[in-house]
Formats: sequence, structure tokens, C-alpha cells
Amino acid sequence: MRSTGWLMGSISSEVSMPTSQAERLLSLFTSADRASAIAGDLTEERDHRGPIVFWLDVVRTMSALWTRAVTDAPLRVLMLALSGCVLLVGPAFVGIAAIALFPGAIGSPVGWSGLSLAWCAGALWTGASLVGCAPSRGLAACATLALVGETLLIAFLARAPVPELPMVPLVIAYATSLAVPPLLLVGGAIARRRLIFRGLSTQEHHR
Amino acid sequence: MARTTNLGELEQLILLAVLRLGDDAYGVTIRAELSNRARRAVAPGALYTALERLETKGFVGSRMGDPTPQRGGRAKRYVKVTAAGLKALKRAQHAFDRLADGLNQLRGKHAH
Repeated sequence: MRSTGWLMGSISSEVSMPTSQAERLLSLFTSADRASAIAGDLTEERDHRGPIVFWLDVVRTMSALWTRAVTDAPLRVLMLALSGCVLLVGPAFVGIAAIALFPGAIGSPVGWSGLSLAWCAGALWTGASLVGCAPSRGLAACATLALVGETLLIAFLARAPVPELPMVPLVIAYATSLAVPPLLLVGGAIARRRLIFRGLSTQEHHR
Repeated sequence: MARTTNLGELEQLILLAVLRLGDDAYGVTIRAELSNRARRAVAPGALYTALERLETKGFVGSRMGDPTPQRGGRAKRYVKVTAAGLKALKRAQHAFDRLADGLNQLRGKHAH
């Protein structure tokens, strides 16, 4: 009896780890209880359909939920995305101002690294701010901005002539610009998870 | 202006599947019912967004069931058609019947 109980516990933990990961991803674009139910449904079908189809379904469901958030209120999402663009400019100026305090660092790898750090931190902060302002659609706006931004950046970098700059600052600048959109999404996801956790904590407190 | 309460084709199929399933209507069973009866392979994303839309419109209600180990300890979200949902479904079905009435291609009868 004890060995059967251990086996059931082992099977349960094998099943629940991907389910928990799927639930966390899905909760970025829908409510916590819906995400839990959807993750449970996909887990129930996983035995018949396999783990690859399970994860494909998770990604496709996330994509569908994101699309719905955008198409249900396109103007609101657009305004949020534009606000995100404006917010992103601030940290860039802060970084430039900070580097300008040290004239020796201007144009050096240290200066470029400092600027990159400011911009990356700004991307995280912008994502978190968008979700903080609009908990239900903020992450959809972040994802939209990240996708459009990354696409434009890749298209621009592929076609633009290589500027006359030393190699190291060029690599830092390019790498930073490509990292900003995903960091925007990461900042939004962290803020969203905190909101969900706070909501669950509040529910627990009121019970 | 009154908010639109028209049903899309997938929404109608989902409501019909939920009615057929009764108390056992949740994501997995609804998809299976649509696949078996309507021969429609509905993607999970399409189903869950449609269910969310129907719930926002007030056409379905939901309740959480008990968690099970087979579902990684997650509860099922059971769905039920509301009175407003039934009314909207009947309206859609009547509209379909009125449009299809007398069409040889659909019914195989001679036009009146």
C-alpha cells in the first residue's frame, strides 16, 4: 500500500510539473482560474496526444488568448503600446545623461555597456509599468510591442549599412537593441505574475 | 444602440455541444463532442477564447469542479448554457431555418 502511494505520488509529480509550467504561461494572458482549468484540460489529453502536442497546444492557446486580448480592444492595446514606446525613450536619455557625466567613457566599451544596461533595465521597467497600468491588457500590449519592435529591428539591421564604429561598441549596440523587446515582455510577465500572486494571497487572507 | 448578441458559427456549435453534454461539459468533452458529432477539429485556443467570449456575453456560466491527479491537481471548469444563451441559440437557428427554407441545394426538396 505504501509503495503504491509512493508510486502515485511520483506519477502525480511527473504530471504536475509541466502542468504548473503551462499554467504559469497561460496565466499571463488569462485569469488564474481559467489558466488552471486550461492547463488541466491539456494535461488530461497529454496521455493520448503526447508531450510535443501538449506544448504546441499551450503555445497555440497562449497565442489565441493574446490575439483575443488585442482584437477585443484594439485601440486600448494600441494606446498602451504607444505609451510603452514613450516610456522606453526615458531610460535611454537617463543612460546618455549618466554616461555624459564621465566624458572619458563616451564612445568607450564601458560607456556603451552602461548605456545598454540603462536601456535593458528601462525595458524591464516599461513592461512592468504597462501591466501595472492595465493588468488585463498590459501584457498583450507588451507582446505586441515586442513582436513589432523586434521585427522592425531585424529588418532594419539586415538592410542598414554598417556604421563606421569600432567592433565592440557595435556588437554591444546591436545586441542591446535586439534584447530590448524580449526584456519588455519579461518585465511585463514578472509584473503579471506578481499581480496574480497578490490576488491569490488576498483571497487566502479573506478566507 | 443595443450591443450585438449574434452568435458566430463556432459559438453556435459550442453551445449545442454544451447542451448535449449537460453537466459534463468542460474543455476536453466539448472538443471531443465537436470532433465526434460535428466532425470539427477545434483547436484548444479557438475553443477557450470562444468560451471566454460566450461567458462575457452572458450566454454561458461556469463553475469549478474538484481537482484530480490525472489533471495535475487542477480542477475542471464546467460550463452551462444560460437562458440568454439558449434564447440567442434559438434565434440563430430560426434565422438559419428561414434562410434555408426551400433551397434545393440544402434540403433536397423542390422550392415552394
